Amino acid sequence: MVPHASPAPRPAGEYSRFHLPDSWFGFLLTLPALAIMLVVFVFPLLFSAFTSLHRFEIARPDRTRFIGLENYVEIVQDSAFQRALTNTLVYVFVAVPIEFVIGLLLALALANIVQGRGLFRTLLVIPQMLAPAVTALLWKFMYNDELGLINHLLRELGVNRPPLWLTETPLALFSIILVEIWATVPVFVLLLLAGLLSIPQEYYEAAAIDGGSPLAIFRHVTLPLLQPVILVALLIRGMDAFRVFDLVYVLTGGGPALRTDVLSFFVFRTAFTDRDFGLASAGAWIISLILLIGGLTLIRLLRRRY
Amino acid sequence: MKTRPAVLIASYVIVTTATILFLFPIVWLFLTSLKPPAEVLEVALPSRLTLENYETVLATFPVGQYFINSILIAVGSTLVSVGTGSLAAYSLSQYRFRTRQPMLLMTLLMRLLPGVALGIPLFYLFSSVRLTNTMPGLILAHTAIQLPLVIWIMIGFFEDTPAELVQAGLVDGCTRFSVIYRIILPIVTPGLAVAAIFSYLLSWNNLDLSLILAPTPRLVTMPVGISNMNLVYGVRWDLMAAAAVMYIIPTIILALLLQRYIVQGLTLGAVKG
Repeated sequence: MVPHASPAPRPAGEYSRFHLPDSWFGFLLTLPALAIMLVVFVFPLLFSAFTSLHRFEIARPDRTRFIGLENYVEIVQDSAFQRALTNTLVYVFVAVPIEFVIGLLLALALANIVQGRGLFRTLLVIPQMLAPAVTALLWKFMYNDELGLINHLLRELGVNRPPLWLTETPLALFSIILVEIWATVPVFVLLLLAGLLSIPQEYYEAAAIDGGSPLAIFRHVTLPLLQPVILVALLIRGMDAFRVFDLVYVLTGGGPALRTDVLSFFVFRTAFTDRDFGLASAGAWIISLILLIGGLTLIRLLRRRY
Repeated sequence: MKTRPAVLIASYVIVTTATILFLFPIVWLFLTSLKPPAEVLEVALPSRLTLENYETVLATFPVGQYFINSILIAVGSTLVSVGTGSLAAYSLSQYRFRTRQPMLLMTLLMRLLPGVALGIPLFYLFSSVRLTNTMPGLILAHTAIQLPLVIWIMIGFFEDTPAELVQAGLVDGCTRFSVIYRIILPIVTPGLAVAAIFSYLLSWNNLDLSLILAPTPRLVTMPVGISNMNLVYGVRWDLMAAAAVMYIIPTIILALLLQRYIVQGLTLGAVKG
């Protein structure tokens, strides 16, 4: 980290009559970014906190009135919201652990490989950088009953009635989770591989000389040293999965019969289909508060560095 | 540590299989887009490769317009976020002042917030100042998702710059401001490129904010257009594949340029690749 820039000795005459203290100079440099953050982040959030406490329908602004926490009470009791919350939690807690395990396995395999590692790493960069909208479209095509590759192969293998991946319940939610896994495993691979490669070889050599079995070395050397990377990866990807919108929007539109509804999509519909901004803002704040807990944990982890 | 041959072979097998599984759907999309239209209903490899689907989709669907919209919005928002964000990052890594910690905290929270939570109030606020359905409105909204990334990536680059350079510059008679553009800027140019490519991709891939803030056809971006095509085209997967391929070719090129820094970008600098 760059240490505090102390006032450097300067040639006489270099000082202008008015010399801005370093702290003020630093603050001024952040002003343009700060202004944007206030306009597109702080102010909208305060405004949405305000609307969440009001009856606020966009079509009838004249009827706006303060109702306290009524929107929050209403949304928490709404069975559609509860289903969206359950689906979101299933989504996160099924997808992320699987992504982590497969990702760790692949990262360990990649760490063993020296020749060709760069090529594999390069190829694995691609799936995760695609727009989620394209990833979703791609898989909608793969899942398609008549034209999709998956059911075509299943029929070739003798399955008479292969599943309708995106229209059967409860399968549809897991089909979306599979797409999430496909897109995110490479992220875990890259993160965990970076962590693995930063562990000094000497630790492994010392452990091997001491007669540690590969499993013991993995448990007592690799895992503890990898722990910070694992925590950061799980938290960040967990929170990203919690915000899921694009995949659901394109793959199922929440269907069939809202069985694959998730929180972001629920809030989106409440605002732009039902036009109920008050209720939608309350929902958005509930999502944000849940994410805030994850965020504060993340900050504690990062503080060791910053 | 020497890897035993059996382990090495197993590793290669696992990694190769996985890589094929991860890339195959994308290859399949490319192949579908190059199919002759007559073969669209067959689940098989194309008998010959043709660009007909590309011609058709460009002629019948305003893909060109979507593409241009996406580029303009991505370039515009990248210029704003890299310009303001890198200046802020320099200050955050170099100076200590009262709003420093709150600002770092704020950038982290910005990264976590779901798009809809930002999109809903922005929609209302932008409507009241006539910014919805405008290019500047979308550009401004996209900077909200880019700024945290730019700031954290650039803090990483500035921290890797030796502090002595700044000191030396000041001793040699630079002002604090000219240190930035005479000494620091040339050194961190690669960092700015990385931050710019990341920002570009964030905007290029964004669906939710564009969907919420620009519902008119005139400002439809590629991701919004592609998700709509599905509703309009139904089973014309060959045409959709052609549009999707046009959209992801720039993505893939940019992602490959970035690959050394992707780990850093994904974790806001918490893990270095």
